[in-house]
Amino acid sequence: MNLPIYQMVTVKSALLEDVTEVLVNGMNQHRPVALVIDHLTRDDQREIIGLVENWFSEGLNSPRYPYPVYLVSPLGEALGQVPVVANVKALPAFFRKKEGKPNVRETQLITRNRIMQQEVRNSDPLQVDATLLRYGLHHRQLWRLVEEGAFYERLLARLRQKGQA
Amino acid sequence: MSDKKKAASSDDLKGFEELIQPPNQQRPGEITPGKNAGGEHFTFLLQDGDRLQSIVALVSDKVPMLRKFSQGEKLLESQTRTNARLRAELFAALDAEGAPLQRSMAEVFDGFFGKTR
Repeated sequence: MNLPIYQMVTVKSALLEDVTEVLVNGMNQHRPVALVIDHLTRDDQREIIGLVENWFSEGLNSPRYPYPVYLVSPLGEALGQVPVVANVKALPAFFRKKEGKPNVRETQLITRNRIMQQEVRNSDPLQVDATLLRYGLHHRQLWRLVEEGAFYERLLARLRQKGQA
Repeated sequence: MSDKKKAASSDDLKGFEELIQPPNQQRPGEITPGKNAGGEHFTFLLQDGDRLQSIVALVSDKVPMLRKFSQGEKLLESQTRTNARLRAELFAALDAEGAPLQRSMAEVFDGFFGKTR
């Protein structure tokens, strides 16, 4: 059993078969994945980002959990759901640990974590994403309405204050 | 003299040989010394376990609850009603005879066109 540290996957080219070769169901179930595409041309990188986004939008896997998936490309921040980092050093430090053979206690923890990974895997990423998106949207709308209400209340308070004076 | 001491100490330890752990032998559950001497991986795995626990709670408890009993629409409706009431109150207060806005507007108009009354 391996530690859940980054698995660096270098994509050979922007050809569909090369990209689909690395996009495997449950690819981020046990450890975070960094798809390295910074050695390819800019057009190829753009195409791969599009293909990866499409693959994740099908809803079989989420690029956020149980472990995150990153694209390593100097193209900068993409607008999609898969985060793009400029280089390997820019990957979040949490999962950047030295590879090593786990001891007995660590193996027990990995086994316990595996059960939780499976539980997360059983959820429907499309439904989860849609629910969270709607929840966030409602929060933003509510915040705007409350701000508007607070503005009216401030105006009313000032008017009443002036009326009394 | 030293041989005598050695012999005495080996006699004292008789029967406890199995319990005494020789150096460089790791017991199950002990952290491997070396690169991982500070228990870095162990702490990392514990933190990762907490992270996974939070995700499990989100996707298996919180999200289904949100889906079934969403409060968003009701809260939005309620706040929209409150805003409409406040707006009506505000307009009424501005439109009242002798209201500050009326007075200010009267001053502006009187300044330009002269007093109407």
